[in-house]
Amino acid sequence: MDMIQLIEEAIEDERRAAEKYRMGAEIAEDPETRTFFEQLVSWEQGHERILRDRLAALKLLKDE
Amino acid sequence: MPEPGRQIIAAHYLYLLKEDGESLRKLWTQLAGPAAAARSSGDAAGAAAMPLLALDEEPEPERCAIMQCVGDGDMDFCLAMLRNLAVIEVVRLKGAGDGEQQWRDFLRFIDGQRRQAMAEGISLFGETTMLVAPQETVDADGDAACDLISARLAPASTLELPGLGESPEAAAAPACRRLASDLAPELCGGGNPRLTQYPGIENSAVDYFVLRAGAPERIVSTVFPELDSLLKELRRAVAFFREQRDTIVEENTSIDKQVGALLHRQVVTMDAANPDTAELENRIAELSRMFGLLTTDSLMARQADKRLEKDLGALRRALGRMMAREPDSIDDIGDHYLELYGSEREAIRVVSRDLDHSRQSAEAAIGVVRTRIELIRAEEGSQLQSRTRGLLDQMVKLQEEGMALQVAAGLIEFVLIFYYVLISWEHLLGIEQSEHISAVMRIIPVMGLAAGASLGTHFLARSIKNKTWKNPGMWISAVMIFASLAGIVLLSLSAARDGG
Repeated sequence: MDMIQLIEEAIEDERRAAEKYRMGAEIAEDPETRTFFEQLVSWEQGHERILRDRLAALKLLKDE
Repeated sequence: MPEPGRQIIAAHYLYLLKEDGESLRKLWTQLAGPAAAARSSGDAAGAAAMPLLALDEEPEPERCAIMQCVGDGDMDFCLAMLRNLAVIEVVRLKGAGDGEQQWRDFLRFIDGQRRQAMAEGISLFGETTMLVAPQETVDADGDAACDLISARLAPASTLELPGLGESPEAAAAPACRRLASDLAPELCGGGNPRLTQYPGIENSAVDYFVLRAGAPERIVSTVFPELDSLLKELRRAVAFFREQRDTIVEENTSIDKQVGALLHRQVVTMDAANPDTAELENRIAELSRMFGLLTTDSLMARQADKRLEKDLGALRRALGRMMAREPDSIDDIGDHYLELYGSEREAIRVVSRDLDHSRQSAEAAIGVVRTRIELIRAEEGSQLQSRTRGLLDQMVKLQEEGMALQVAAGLIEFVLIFYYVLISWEHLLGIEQSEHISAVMRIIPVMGLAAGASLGTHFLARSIKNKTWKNPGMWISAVMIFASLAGIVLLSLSAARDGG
């Protein structure tokens, strides 16, 4: 498995995790739990953004 | 591209990596699909305008090649190919009514499209929004149009642009930084065209420009994306190289410290007095590992330098094609980015030079430790030689002593045999008979027998030691013994006859 493939899989993992937490936020009954899940969604989206940036850079520079 | 007479008021550029074909196809369908459908429902020929993506076609290097365009009257959508990126250009044409309201609607439309693209998992490489102010506005009001736009864009430190209906005075932050460049008039139908960037919102995912030009079509469709895509590529590459550089510098500093400490231990402290070859060999292995790391880092730094050199060259060419060449014209955009990325390249070159020095240090340290091992081995060899020489001397001495003892033993053996044989012969022959044999004739055979026996013993011992009977000395000794015995017998018989 090369680095690009690995990052693509990691992005997919982050997306899945964010989706799971989003569902958690939707079904949460108390505001604290909902906020907690929303925070987790935000973190996962941040990770996904970092991974996407790195992936784009690697793809751009891979022929060098 | 817009039909003649239609004025461009804004454009938005969505960049993707060319190799992300699936994202590109999805985004193009999302953006241009409704326009193409609308057109085909009203015009049968419009169906033919729905683009077929020709992603395998390569544009001229460093130039923007428009592959397909489709429009719905209010907006045009074009797909273009660049060096490493593909771009979808969304161009807003002036409609009836308030221009500012149309800008606001356009920005909202783009925000909505972006959200939809994100939900679809489309990975954008970068985005740029360009608002276009007509030349006549500028001619009438100086830079009023640009000031208005900058006032609305400048404070937007987040992704959200301020609503155009909100107070522009509050938004017009004095710290707002603008980079303005005069464009080549021949690209914009003459006049004094100018491109302004607002790098104050550089951290946002979108870059913002304002173009002031009488005929902006060529700039909007091909010339600007050539420059903009290069700036985006450079930004992404430089961010990556910066991270890489930080890691390399950290690694390099740590290795320099370790090498320095090791050399200090070797040359100055106790380790120098109590060397251990195995320990030194471990250090060579460790230094070799460091040397390998530095070589890899150095290679990465060189590759980064090469890439930046290439990209900066392309940026210079793109700026040269786009910007005005008059002596009094300004080019803040070109100056800013050439300086920014030029200094990044210089920083990488400094790191590359530092790495070369560190590699030399590691190589020198390996040399020092290796020399130390060789010295230790040479010293050990010398000690071994000295011990061997002592042993050899001892052996020679022992051999000499052994030989003296052997000679002494041989002499004693000779005397004893001589004495006892002589006495025994006289006793066996009798005193009277013995007197018939002269003293000389009695001594000669007895002496021969004693000598033969002594020598024979010596040669027999040598034969046993060498495990061979091929020993002439032993056989000569045997002959001597038999001859002497024969002499004794003959002389005894002769004496008996004379006495008889």
